[in-house]
Amino acid sequence: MKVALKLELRRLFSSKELYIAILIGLALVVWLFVYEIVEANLFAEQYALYGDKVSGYLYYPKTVFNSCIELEYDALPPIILYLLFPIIAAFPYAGAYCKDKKTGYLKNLLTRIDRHDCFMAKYIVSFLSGFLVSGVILLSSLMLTMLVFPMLTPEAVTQNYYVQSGNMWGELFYTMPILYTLLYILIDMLWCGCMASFALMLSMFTPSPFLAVTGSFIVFEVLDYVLSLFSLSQFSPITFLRPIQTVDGISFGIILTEFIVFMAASFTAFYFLERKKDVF
Amino acid sequence: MQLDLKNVSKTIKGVTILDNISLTLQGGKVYGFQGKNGSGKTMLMRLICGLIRPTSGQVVINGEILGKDISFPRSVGVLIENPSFLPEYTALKNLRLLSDLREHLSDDELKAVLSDVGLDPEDKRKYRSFSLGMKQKLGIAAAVMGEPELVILDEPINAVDDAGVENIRHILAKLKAHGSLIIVACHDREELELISDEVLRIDAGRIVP
Repeated sequence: MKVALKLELRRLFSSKELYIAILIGLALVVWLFVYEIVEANLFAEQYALYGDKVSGYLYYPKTVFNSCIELEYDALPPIILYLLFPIIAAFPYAGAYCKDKKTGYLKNLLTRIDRHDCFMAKYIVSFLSGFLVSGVILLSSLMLTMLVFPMLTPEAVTQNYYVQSGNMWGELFYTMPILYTLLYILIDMLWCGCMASFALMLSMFTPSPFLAVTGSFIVFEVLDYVLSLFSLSQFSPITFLRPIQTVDGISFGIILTEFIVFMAASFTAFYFLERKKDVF
Repeated sequence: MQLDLKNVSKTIKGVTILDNISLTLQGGKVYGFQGKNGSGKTMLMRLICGLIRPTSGQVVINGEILGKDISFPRSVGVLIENPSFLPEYTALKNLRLLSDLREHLSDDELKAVLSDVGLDPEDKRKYRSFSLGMKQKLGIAAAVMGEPELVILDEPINAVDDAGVENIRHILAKLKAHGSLIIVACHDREELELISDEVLRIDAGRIVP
């Protein structure tokens, strides 16, 4: 198991797909960062000129907790990032299994390592790839924002924060926002790992790495659309992954239950079914 | 090394690919599989190395049942159909990655294997830029590195130049002397007869006299 895991990790870290996925995410982070700086400067200039009467509403500074990519609501980069997360998470590794099957490299592996080790290592590394990529992107945004914006404890009355006190962990957000943010980042990382594993499972059904990667995106987007038709968006991973919680009714129970269901489905299909198939 | 096939059959989507094959093959010998396209040679090789499971019958290697006691032969080198390696790595790095999974050979040993098949161990070119013949040679190098007890080569001389064919003959002779059981499938009947101790004809999934 250890040698198989080592090989797959080496392949992951030497693949250009991993770095492309991270770069796409970081580009969105930098885009948002520049946008926030420009906006903050604009406000600062107006504040210098007009004081508290800026645009007729209360001036409230930008802080880490309304400017990082996880907690910003209005700007485009977080919308794009959370929309693309199923692709960004799956891109580094989910296509590797398709390639192994298509090129015949899988034969090299299965005549050297046990099937259990081979498939388990692929599943673990696929999960890790999504976990890692999302972690790098989300933590970079948080740290970059921390470099220039203050970590003021959010005040609900200012209406400058998008998490409502009635939301999941709402109270935590208004008392220990950094803990809320870090916990939500962990949820996102685990879910991105889950999305990458789901894409790996889809690669069982297609010889095309492109279809495996985009298939996961399509499944999660369609699920989001269908659930929104029935006003059940709180059950959609695309929706509940955003720490600003754009809909009511999201709960940790929903997030955890769906995580277990998706992980169990992908693991059962990939590890138990694919492992037993003939390799041609 | 002893390989026993006991009444092995393989059926895929209702089509019988291998039909009740029983064979006993011994180490220290080269067995040639001969037959026309679609006769079942490659399928039989896949079955022996554990890539596919028989529909009925057993493959027994040194007393261990494939698919039950072991999922693949404990010491096997395989080249079936096209060689396949990671395109972004050199020949040496590709061999090192595979060797780290089982053989754990040193760099010097890996370089020696590459030289044996006629490849330059210091070649810095990536696998993706290799010619067909070079890819085939690397496939053979991967199959024979560490002198496995069982070597399975499907069309090993495809795209290989004369000097390369001579190298392969030397390698097979060396493995045979080492006691390996070698199975080779080849369309070139003369070459197959030259390198094999015994030639087995396969037709419509059966061993025929």
